Amino acid sequence: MLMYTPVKSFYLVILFSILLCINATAQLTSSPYSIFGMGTIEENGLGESKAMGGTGIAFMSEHSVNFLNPASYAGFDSLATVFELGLFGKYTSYNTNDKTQGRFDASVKSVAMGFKPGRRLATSFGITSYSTVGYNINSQSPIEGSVLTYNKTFSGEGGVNQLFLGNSYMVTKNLFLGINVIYLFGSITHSESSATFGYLLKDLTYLSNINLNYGLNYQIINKEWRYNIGLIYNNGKTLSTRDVSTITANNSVETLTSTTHTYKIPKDYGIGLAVEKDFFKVGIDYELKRWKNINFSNPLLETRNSNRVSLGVEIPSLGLYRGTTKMIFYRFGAEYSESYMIIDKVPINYRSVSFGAGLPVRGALSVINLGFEIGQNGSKQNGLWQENFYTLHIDISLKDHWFMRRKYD
Amino acid sequence: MLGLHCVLVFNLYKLKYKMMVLCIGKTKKHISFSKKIASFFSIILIFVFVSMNSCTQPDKFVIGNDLVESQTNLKILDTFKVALSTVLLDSIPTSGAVVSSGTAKILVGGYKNDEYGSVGSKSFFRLGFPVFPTLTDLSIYDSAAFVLNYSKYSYGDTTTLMSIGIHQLLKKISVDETGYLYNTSTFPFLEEEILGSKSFYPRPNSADTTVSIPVNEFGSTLWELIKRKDDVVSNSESFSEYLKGFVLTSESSSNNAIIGFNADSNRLSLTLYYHSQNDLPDASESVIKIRFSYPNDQFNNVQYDLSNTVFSELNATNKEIPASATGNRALLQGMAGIIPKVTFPTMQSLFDENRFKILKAELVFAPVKGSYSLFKLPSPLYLFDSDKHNNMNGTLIDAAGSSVISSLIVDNLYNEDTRYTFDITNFITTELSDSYFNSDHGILIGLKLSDFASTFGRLLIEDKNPAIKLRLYYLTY
Repeated sequence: MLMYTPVKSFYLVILFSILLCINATAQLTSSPYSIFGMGTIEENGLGESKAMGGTGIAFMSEHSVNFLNPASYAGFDSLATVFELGLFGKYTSYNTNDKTQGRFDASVKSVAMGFKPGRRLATSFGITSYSTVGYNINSQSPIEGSVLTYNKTFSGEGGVNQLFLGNSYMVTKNLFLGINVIYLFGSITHSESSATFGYLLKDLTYLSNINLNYGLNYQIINKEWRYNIGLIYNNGKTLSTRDVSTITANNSVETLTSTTHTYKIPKDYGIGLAVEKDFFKVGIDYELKRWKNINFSNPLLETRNSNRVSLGVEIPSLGLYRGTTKMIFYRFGAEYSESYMIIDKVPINYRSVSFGAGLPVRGALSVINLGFEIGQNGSKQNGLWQENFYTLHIDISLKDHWFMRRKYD
Repeated sequence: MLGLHCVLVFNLYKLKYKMMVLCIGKTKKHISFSKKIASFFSIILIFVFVSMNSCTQPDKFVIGNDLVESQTNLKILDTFKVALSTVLLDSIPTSGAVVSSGTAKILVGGYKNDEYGSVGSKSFFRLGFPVFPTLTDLSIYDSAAFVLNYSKYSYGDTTTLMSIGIHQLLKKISVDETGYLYNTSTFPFLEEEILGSKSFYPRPNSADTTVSIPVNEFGSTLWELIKRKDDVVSNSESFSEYLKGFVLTSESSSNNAIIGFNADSNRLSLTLYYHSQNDLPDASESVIKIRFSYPNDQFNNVQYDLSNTVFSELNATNKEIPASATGNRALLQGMAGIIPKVTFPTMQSLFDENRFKILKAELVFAPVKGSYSLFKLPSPLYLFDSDKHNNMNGTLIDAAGSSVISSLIVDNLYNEDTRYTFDITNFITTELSDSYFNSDHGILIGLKLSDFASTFGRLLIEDKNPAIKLRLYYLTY
């Protein structure tokens, strides 16, 4: 059934060139909070879920690849191939008690593809980021043995990407099971430098490992009502690391025997519920990540289990186009999450509201999902800062009937 | 990143091409789809560019300061011993080949100082072979003089009467096997056989003023030779064998200045004045100018006397004295080859620390207070690489290949903070690079090489209050 036409190989080429791009522009977001561990953990929700507070554990993949729950791939249109690209632009203002600074970031966030090679089997693959490190902090450091200070810059960049291959299998017409085989890879660089004295201490860690995300979706259809319950789980993993530390001074580079860092992916549990009727859809998610027993040898940082709760609503456009391919979906959502970080006794929490729309592209099955998210992260207590951000998520979902075998072609 | 864009653009191109191939004979729907993909990828490209810019934007970001944990520690160390001494170089070249032509000069005179030593200079030079006029019986010799022009350089007290003389050499000047002549070089002449002398108040800053040393008797002998077309004046070789060379000497022990005259064919000559009997009474004098020539054979011989000073032990057999033996000071005297030297005898102990980098190294010292009231402090100073034999092995350079020169801060108000600072990072880090600090590897503190060979620039370095310092910006990590 699967036909390898030139068009398809082409998608693959494009997909991989974008993967390379993502890898190269790994600094997706900037936050000084990303100084710890693997940095800022990105939520797994892609595409349309971004306009619904990241909700999606119980949603089936219809308009886009729902990476949150691998069981959802069963929802793909059996004849269409979905090709999806996620982009974002984010403006953040960082506020302490006495100052405010702003910053704009934009990048490719994810690329994914999904199709159904069989009636019961659905496949997806792609790349998205697991975490990002991006900070650049200028500091005045004292020169020991004098009353002088000098400008020192601390910076970090990189992150961990997840290259995934997911499959979902329809066990019965109500039960779907899925698994994402994820290759985690990336690099994180922390560096300390001074332009005045021309030195750079760079600690570069390459990380990689394979991890598995499991998903289940159970669906009950009762007349026009559809109820879904989704469960997700991953067992956690310790990443393999390779550390390269160098010091550059007096225009020469020296490689140092470095201390190795340990990076761990926590155990992750999630449950979601969704109700759907006449293209109206409501869902809630709860996700728990067991960070508490993962220790970052940093005296300022205490870890706790992270929690995420979110709510999402999808409403179809009223009127003529309802139920056709020209139908517009409006989406709303809210999210609250407690990150794994307690810095200097201050818990770092994230809250946001979002709204958006799924706009069909005329003459094709494709959809552009727009999501606008407004939120806050962190706190101004104990000399920390609060980040107020405005993010525009653009998710382009192209669909084509690759596997349609026309009787007369 | 650029490469990736290329891949992307290339793929886009291929995509369009393949879509066109596919579209042949296909439905209209496919065409519009391919158009969409093209426009869609344009959006991607724009986004990637935007994201690139955001990644590279320079930040003055200070938020997050409290979270950073410094892995590096920078400190200033100035406790490493700097051993200061005064070195007497065997000789320094002073001939025209060392000194660039614009600054080459005849230096003559003497200067006395009981605290820092007395110096004197005599200058050796040669004259060229002119085109001699045909002289007849009607040509009448008048007079002759060495005519000198001030080079504007002087050292010492120019308000006192000076007396200088000129002697003819007994041996022709020629450079030694190195191609140079030195502050210690000399050629024989008879002190008592003086061709001429002149006492005058030097006016070195008036460029138009010349100093003429009359040598009428010597001129008359030469006149006769020219007039009778003697073999001696027939060609350049026999003429220079005859003249051999001259030396300008300081003729009075009360001279208290050294004066510079131009070593230049247009500004130094032996001039013979004559006239013709049939000339009209107001006709101008005729002259024969035997001009300065052979600039590479011109050199200055320098004498110094340190006998009444703290440096009295410094001599040809005792060529280095530590500052501790000379009242905690070191002496720089241009032309005399007296030069301060520093070594760093305890630097090896740096390696007691495992991980460190020297980010910057500065050599800092002050001139002896009161030693520069009469003379300006020389600036900038230059450094020279040296070894345990006190050789002068070339100008010290920084990492970029430029000469290391001093910056001088003058505290005119209190005279307390006047100091010289050198950035010797390249010297220190290069010496440290093999994990062994050779304590014999030293630095000579001098003037620019051409100035060291042509001026009497002088400096006394203080080594007690304050002591000379090596200031290290030292990074541990």
